[in-house]
Amino acid sequence: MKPKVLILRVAGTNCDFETEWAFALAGAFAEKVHINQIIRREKKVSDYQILVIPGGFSYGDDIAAGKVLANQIKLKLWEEIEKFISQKKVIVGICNGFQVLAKSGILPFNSKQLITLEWNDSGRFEDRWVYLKVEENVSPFFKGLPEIIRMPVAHAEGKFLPQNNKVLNEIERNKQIVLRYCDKEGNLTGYPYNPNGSIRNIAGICSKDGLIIGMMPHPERAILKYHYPDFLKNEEKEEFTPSFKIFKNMVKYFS
Amino acid sequence: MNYVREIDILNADEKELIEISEKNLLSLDIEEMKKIKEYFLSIGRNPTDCELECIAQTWSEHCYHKTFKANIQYIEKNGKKIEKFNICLLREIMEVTEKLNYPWCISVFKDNAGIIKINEKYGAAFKVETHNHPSALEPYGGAGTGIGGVIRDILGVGLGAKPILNTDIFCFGPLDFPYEKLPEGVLHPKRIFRGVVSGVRDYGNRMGIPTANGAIIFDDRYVYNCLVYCGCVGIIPVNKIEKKVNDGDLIVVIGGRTGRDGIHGATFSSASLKENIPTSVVQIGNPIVEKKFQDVLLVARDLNLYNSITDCGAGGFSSAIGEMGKDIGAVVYLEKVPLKYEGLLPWEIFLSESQERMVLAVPEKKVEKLINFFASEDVEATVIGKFVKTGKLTVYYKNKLVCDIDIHFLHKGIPKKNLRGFFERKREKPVNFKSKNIKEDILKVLSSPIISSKEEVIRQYDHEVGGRTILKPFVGYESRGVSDGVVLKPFYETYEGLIISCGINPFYGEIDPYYMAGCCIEECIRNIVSCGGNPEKIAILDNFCWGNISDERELGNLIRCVKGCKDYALKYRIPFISGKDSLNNYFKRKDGKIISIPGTLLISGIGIIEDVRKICSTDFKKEGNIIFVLGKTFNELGSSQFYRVNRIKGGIVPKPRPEKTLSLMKKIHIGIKNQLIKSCHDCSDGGLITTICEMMIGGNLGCKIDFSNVLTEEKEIEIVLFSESCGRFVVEIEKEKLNEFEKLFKNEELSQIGEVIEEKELIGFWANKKLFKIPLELIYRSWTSLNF
Amino acid sequence: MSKEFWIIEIHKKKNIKDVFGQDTKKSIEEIGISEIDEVKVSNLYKIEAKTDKKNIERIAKELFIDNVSDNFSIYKKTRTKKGFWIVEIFLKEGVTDPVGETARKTIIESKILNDVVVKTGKKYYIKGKINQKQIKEICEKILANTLIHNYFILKKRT
Repeated sequence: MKPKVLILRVAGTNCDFETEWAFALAGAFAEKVHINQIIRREKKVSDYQILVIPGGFSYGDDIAAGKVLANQIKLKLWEEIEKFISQKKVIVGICNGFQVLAKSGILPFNSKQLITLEWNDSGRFEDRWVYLKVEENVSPFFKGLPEIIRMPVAHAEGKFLPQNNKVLNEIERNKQIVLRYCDKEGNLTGYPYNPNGSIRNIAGICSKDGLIIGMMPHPERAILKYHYPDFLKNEEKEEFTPSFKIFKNMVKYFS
Repeated sequence: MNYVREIDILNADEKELIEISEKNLLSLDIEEMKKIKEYFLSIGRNPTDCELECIAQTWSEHCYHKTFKANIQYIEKNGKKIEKFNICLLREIMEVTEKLNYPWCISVFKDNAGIIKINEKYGAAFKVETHNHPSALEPYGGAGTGIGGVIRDILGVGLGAKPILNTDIFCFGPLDFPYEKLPEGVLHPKRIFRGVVSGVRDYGNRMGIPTANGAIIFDDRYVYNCLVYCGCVGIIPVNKIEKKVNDGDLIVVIGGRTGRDGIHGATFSSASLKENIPTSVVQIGNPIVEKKFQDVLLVARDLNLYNSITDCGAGGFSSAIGEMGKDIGAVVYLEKVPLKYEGLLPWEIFLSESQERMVLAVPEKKVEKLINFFASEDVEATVIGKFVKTGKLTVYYKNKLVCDIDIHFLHKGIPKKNLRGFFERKREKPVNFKSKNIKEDILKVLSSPIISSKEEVIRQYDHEVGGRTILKPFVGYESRGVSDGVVLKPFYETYEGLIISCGINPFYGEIDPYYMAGCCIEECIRNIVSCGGNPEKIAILDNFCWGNISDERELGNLIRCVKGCKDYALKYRIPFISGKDSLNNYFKRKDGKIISIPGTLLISGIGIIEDVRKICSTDFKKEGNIIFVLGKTFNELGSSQFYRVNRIKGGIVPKPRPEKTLSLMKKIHIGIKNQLIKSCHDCSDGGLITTICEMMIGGNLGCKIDFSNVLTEEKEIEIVLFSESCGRFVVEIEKEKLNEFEKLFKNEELSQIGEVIEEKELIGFWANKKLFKIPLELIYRSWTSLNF
Repeated sequence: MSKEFWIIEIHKKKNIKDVFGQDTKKSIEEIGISEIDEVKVSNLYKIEAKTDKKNIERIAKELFIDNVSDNFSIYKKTRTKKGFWIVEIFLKEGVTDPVGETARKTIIESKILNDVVVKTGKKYYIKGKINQKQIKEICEKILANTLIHNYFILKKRT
């Protein structure tokens, strides 16, 4: 079965096109849906298997990144989202989407807010390619990936920060960490390899069951080998990148 | 309440007419005021405030480009030879495109942007604007609304194009300019710089459009008037390029609400900066408002819900509706316009330049659907009038007539200007300045503000949102190297590509603006070609920013520059597809002294390639590969970065050699397509040595070069290293491909100068004698030493 | 009830890096005022509505702050702080305030209030050996652009 992917759009969403393309290329039926269509009940979240909150600046990231959309989800979509989660469907938050999942409490434990994505240590928006270490984790979507993968990050507020060490240790113990920033060799080092100062270099996490994913880096911008900034030097053989495999894995999960 | 003021011009004499113009900030001169008086005499009444404002905006330099349309008597003196002829600047530029007459230039000089054909289904639209005055006063808001404005130009070209790239080019005063020398009311260059960068960043990033090409120039003369160029590229289906307002179409405004902001923007930006400025001319943008309607607009376009569109920029509704209705006529009801707050006078509503608004012409039977469609994503769309065949621009406010003028007079009534320009050619003489320490001079050039890395700035822009950016601003090892341009893959389904780059060098203009024009055009093409572009598939845009053009000599410089644009564009066979000018970028100090910017020409280029997989980057790829210089080096150090860092004036300015270079570039295109050339970087600011250092940084590799092997007119180390002669590229070739390479470049000027080495250092020789050795680490450190 | 003003001040918790404070400190030093010990920055939301403090608290808590990294306080009149100069900056009347507009919309959507105006501002706490003239210089050269901003200085309490 071709899974149906709902790519949630709001004012300020801007990675919806490339995310739609990535899912379509991976074999899913992807559809961009505006939040108003759900609120007006023209579209139902329950008709889909995968819900994506893509990158962008939802509502301008005014007040704080992803904050207003997080408020809106709690106020207006909560019932539908709860049901979606309980049915073991998949939710993916990339960049701004991760900020929304963190601030609405959906990640890491679907409770009150326990983690955040703070301002980068540099105090600025930065776009750069990073190395990511794929951690041993509970999510089915990072299986079969090389140990180190590459994608770009592009954000101002991406510093992973837990409320306290208890939360952090629990996430680690549950194998909920999927990606950490590292250098070429896989060492967890500082700036610019850790582009924002994230605690323990955390770049992406998942829920306890591994079906809800939140990550700051952009896999949808690293689909083809031609997306790599040095593709002219390193003549990769594979047309598609390991990042693309993440999309493939999600589609495969439902087929 | 009396909303409308009548202005008595019928009884005004010349002195009073000028007073009226000045008092109301109309920026109209006496000839224009007399023409207006004549018109109103003919209809037997005085104008209203709204009418006078409307005419002033439409006739402003910013909207009408009077100088470029003027009849200019031009005198050029070259030694004892004197040439004298009449010239129209806009004609000169447009003639290039007409003469070349390429079928792939599908919409030029008539819409909000120029459009070239990518394939049978799609075209690429490109427009570059300036937002200088607002950025000087409120850098963050000024730059943000600048980028917002040019994006709307792209959304408003044809029936709307989808923006996929922003470009930005800035000229600022030196970042270390002494505070005590700043006149009151002028912001420090550092503050302008930071504000402008944040403004472009916050607006562009929020729009979801990558910002991936640009340049930054520093000079003392930009302290009082910074330049902020913002460009935008969009893609548009070829069947959506034609637009036509029909009689009876409703006028619909979409997007943001109207406030008092930006009133007099057009007239203000056509005048010089003085020390007292009104607050209303600056404003802050709201990118999310623009993003929201961008999302819906392109869908509405494909549902054929409207017949025509334009953006609401300078001059507000007056300009947008006046322009759209210029063949028909329009009736507007200002009380229907959604306002940010109450209390605006009718003329303020009509002239306001509030951001994030566009005007559509919508057939009556589709209007309900259109309004509901926009409302579904929380975008306000409101009917404010109707296009009707009256030949008049008629405006009401609460049943009171506030404006009723003949459309023909509004658009054609402006008296043609007669101007005079004068240019005297300088005798160029070589300076023969000798370097005391070559190694030190190399590092000095690399660390100069213009050459040094702008990474800290560029990283703040999202340069790959959309997933279309293939060749990024940074390339090579740890993305440290710089690109000559950006390569985009506009469609997810195919490998077709666009290459965008630019050329700018105001310093050459100090010696001769004619050659500056040639150099800028060539630099832009060179950049595109060294990324893999086809020199026969490039179109360019001109943006002139000039100083006080009421001075005959400054106007003469501009004319000389335009002549250069025409001659060189024709010689390179490259068409202009759009352009813009921003004049009167000067500052009048309290003591009356006028400080003008250096005449600055920006050439932006867009090239089309068949396959983004067959491109080239600037970083050295592998040790053992052979390094060549293509093209010949001349004693052309005038206004070079080498002379600038050593404070040397004069010298000989680079002279492009189109025939030689064009033939060379065609072969480079083939060499890259056949993957014969492993890396390619053009030589421009900072000369050959800068090019080589940048290739090393990108490759994280060293090289061994014998500079005496460089093909040159004069075998002097300073000339070989630092001359900025046009038509040169450095390329890297694999040893086993040498024969193939030399065969391809047979009969071209080429010199084998060295090879890439594993050791991370630059080892320079002269006739087999070692001259210097510089560690790559030191080169990188110097190049990244500028503190923003 | 008549319309009243409240100010919600949102600042980083103690253990969170105040990146903007550090940036501002650097900028102040660049104009030659070097005697700065510390700069802290808060975001201000001036709320104009007919309501009581409890609702303003709800707005801050439920809609504005980040539970992990922010604290907030609510006041009507700015109070001085020992050892710190305080500068408050707001946009002038009529200047577009996108964040204020978004904040207004999210309040209305939450149904906590149905009629409200929000204006955003910044508050700087500056510690160091500086005088009134210098603080004015800091405001005009770095913190505010008087074309679009109003600023207020509160003297350091010693």
